[in-house]
Amino acid sequence: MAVDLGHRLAERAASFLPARGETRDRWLSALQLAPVTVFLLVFLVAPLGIFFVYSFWVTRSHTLVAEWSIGQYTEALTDSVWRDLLRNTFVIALLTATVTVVIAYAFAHALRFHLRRYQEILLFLVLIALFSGYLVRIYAWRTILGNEGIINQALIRIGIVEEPLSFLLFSRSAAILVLVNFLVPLAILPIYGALQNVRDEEVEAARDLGASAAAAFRKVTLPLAWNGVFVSFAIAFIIAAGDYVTPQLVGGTSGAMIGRAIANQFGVTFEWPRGAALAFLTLGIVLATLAVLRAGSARLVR
Amino acid sequence: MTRAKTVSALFVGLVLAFLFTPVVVVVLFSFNAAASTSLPLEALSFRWYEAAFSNPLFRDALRNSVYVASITALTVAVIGANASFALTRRPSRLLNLFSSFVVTPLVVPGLFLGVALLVFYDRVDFRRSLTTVIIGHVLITLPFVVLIVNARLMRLDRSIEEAARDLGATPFQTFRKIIFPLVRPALLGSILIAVAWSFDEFIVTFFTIGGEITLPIMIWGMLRRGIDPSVNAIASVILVTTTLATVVAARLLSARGFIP
Repeated sequence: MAVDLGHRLAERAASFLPARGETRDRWLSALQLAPVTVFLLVFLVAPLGIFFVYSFWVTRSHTLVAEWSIGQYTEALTDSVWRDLLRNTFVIALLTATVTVVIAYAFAHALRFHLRRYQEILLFLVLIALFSGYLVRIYAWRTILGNEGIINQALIRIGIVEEPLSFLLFSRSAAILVLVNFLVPLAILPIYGALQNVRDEEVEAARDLGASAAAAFRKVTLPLAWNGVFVSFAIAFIIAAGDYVTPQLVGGTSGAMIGRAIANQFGVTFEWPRGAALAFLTLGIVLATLAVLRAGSARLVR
Repeated sequence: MTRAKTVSALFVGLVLAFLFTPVVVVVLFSFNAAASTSLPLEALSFRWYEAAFSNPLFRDALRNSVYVASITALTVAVIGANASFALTRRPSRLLNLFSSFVVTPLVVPGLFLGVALLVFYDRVDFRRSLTTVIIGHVLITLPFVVLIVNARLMRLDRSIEEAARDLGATPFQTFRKIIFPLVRPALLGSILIAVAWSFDEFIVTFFTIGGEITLPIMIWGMLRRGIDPSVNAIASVILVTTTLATVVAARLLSARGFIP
């Protein structure tokens, strides 16, 4: 690919040589891209690079030692503490992403095909939801679901229960509920964007040719929107797998996730290599899963 | 109304209720006269706002949050918009690749970016402060600005640029009088989005901040210490700010400006 790219570059460069305006444009473009490039190299590539290198180092009596080892990775995969946590994270993230995408798809579909007249205002509300509080949103669920929270207080007052239902909060389902809550607005946008590519005539043509509504959806609408659906799923999956606040504030034991453990390696315990290895392992598992899903879905949805 | 429409409207209404419940709850309880969190509220009061605003820690956090959000938004607007102009001028495969590179921070969990920055600052002996926080915020708001401005520039009819040049305008004049006014709403919109995001950002801030506090960091501290209802008032201050910024941004962009 690099060779291909180099070749293309050379080709482009050659084709641009004669025109003076174009040469100037290219200089201008380079100048305009320079700040972002430098910024990203220094504050994105370098930190992630160092972080990656550290995952192969070790700590001795609370100091980092540049001693190469894959011990952190093997430990994370064999020690049941980390393995269980990774598995739990994986399950929660997968469930979260699935529920999120189903809700987001249904929402975007309703907007695009049935509530066309109100698209603008509804989309506007989605945007407000998207930018209205991450931390705030998560802790609000404690006010809603907690022992002293709205639901339990109401249930007690009505007399349905005598003791607060403690399973509402600090459980796996609470973690999923909260993650879905802040991921749905984010997932709606790419799907809605993709549904814009579906033209009414295409769906109508399928129906005219005798396809049932379900078949038209399955064979026409969904394949055309699939890219957006997949992007939404990927974003939701990645963010859910790496979330730190949700497992900490509402997850409890059954909703424990790797994010909290990773963060702890940088605070409570000074185990940076382990934290880095856990982070890259999580990212690796997530990306591998997405690649498999991508390949599998390419065959199923078309 | 057809049946499909009714069902759709019902469903959309339910989802919106689900999305806005936490927000409404926080704002509602910020006006609660009592310290308990049960409904219905017995009386309304401003006591939690008074408590918050008379707390010097809160005023500190508010000032820091405003400072971080403003510098972040200005920085990201300047470098992001410049990148957008370059990325859309003569689209090529290489530039498309570069676009995906710029958007990377959006698809790396905030926690990973936060700890990676923490490790990096330690490595290069960069003392953590509000400046290191701003760097983190620029990193995560950059994708928004570039995506929004890119979208605007790509929908721009480039022939007006040529027309201006044909009529004798210099490149600089063309930019100042023609292109920039057309892009300005998108740019302002993306700046407001950056403000909204920065004002509410917790996770990257948590790992890159020094001894100072911002509003979300203050909320985090209060949550860990136990129940203090003035946390709802502080959260409402964040919510009002981010919502206002988003409303104005959405008006400037029309909601479609956000669609990839």
